[in-house]
Amino acid sequence: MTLSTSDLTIQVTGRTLLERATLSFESGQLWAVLGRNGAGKTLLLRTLAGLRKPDEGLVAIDGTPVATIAARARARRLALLLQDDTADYWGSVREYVTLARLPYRNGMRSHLAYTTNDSHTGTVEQVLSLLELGGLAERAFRTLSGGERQRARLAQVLAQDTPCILLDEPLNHLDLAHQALTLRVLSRLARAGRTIVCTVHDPLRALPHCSHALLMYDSGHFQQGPIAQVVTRKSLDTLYGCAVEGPIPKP
Amino acid sequence: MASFSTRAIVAAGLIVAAPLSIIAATLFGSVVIEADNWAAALVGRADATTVEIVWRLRIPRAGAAFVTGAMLALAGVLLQNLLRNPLADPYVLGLSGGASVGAMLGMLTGLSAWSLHLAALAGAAVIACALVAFAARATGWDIHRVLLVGVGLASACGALVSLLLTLAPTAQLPGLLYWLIGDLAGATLHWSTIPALFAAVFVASAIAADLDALALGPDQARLLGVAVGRTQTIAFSIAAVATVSAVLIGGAIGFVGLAVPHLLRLLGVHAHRWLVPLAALAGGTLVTLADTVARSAAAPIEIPVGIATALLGVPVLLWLVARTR
Repeated sequence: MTLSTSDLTIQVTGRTLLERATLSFESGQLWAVLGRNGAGKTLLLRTLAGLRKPDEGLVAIDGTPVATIAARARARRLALLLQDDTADYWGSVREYVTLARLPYRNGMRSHLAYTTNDSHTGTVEQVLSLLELGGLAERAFRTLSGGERQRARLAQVLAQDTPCILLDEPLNHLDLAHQALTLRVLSRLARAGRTIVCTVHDPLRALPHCSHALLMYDSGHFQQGPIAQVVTRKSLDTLYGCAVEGPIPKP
Repeated sequence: MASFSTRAIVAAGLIVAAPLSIIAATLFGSVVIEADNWAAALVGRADATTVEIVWRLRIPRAGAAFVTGAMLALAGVLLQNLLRNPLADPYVLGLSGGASVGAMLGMLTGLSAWSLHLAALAGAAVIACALVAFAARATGWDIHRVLLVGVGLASACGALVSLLLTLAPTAQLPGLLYWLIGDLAGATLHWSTIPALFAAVFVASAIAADLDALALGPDQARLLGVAVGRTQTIAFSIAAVATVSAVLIGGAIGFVGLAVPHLLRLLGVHAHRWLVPLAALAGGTLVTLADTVARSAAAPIEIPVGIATALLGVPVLLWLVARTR
């Protein structure tokens, strides 16, 4: 599945964050979106997911404009891990993750009892196991720590089982072991054919697992392509406005 | 986490408690009716006074109490979800305030009892239209604006109510106060409210899965394929109709809409396919029991039912909060 933009412009309060970007996120690619705080990474993901209208240009899934795809059909093709977590969910982790199966319900009975469908529970159990959440499955979501909550949220996104996965800061709140686990899982999913785009704040940690990068500079300028071509010490120094220490990672 | 069996126990308990509360309401009051006499009255074989008490007074009042409580609890569930605010209750958005202002204006201008209901509905409709005008967006409701505008309108209605009370002739004060305190004295069941209650519970249950997603926030719900604007509009409409129906029957009875949804969540009932019908049952049961206590405890004086709902419900709520700490 290809998620693409054509001449996409993103502006906020008169500032242009991305200008006339024509991008193509292909199946099997794991993209890292890099940029300073306020560079527009989150707005880009929200625009790609259809939560926000492009200021100019178009976002399309396999050539079909995102805005014209019905909500449920879109939710079967594309999932987004939001950066903000304001949910005060009362159920268990398993029930929280199972909400990801909502786009697949069909008919009134399924509508009321989407949690008991075998194929849905199978997908949920697989994801819980993939992210090592089995031990937390019965815990109340609201009692989880920040990192555990982030893993449950990530599990919900993966349980949506979409060909395109957008992740806004997936490594937030995670300890080193779970950062590594998450990156391994994402890498494996990309190799299996998913299109994955994620924003990251620690490029040195994430880039070895990614295939492509989008660097969002000031004033709407950007650079995109395979990691080996676009990520250099110079490009990172320019991007972050400081000297990036340590070896520049390669995939 | 509440297991399936916990929810089943809560459901079974409420299914048993609901009819028992109505039976208790027909047995107890300023006059306690003996069980055999009560059974005879039900089939019309008791003395005329007992038949009158059971059929003309207590059954309609128990029904009114149950429907009022069920509507309030249902509205509470929906508004707490829509506004993503645990303190939301059926009165927070000013719908009941609008109904009170409408009814009070109707009384002061000498409208008939039947027309008063229309005046109250018109008052609530004005508030609902204002909320739609200020907060409805093509992509869904702006919940911050709903809350802000609703609280503002509720305050304005409160000020208008105070003004009307100040200007009203003393003789009309008791009638006016009826709209301000929750009181089922003299309330009768409009039978049309029973299918309305069933319809409200049915429609809210039909969007239960969407409400589950909406509890995660409008953006997350949208990402899960929920038609957020439509779901919010349906839920808000049901909440508005339920609130206004309850206020028309029993005035502004407090506590039920706020606390019943929390009581059930603390008992492990959070998925809306369970929460919606069980809140209706629990709200109905609570108000019916509270009204029975209010009629019986200091008979022949009747305590306003709003006082009894709070006195019965608050200890249970505190106990549950302490237990789940």
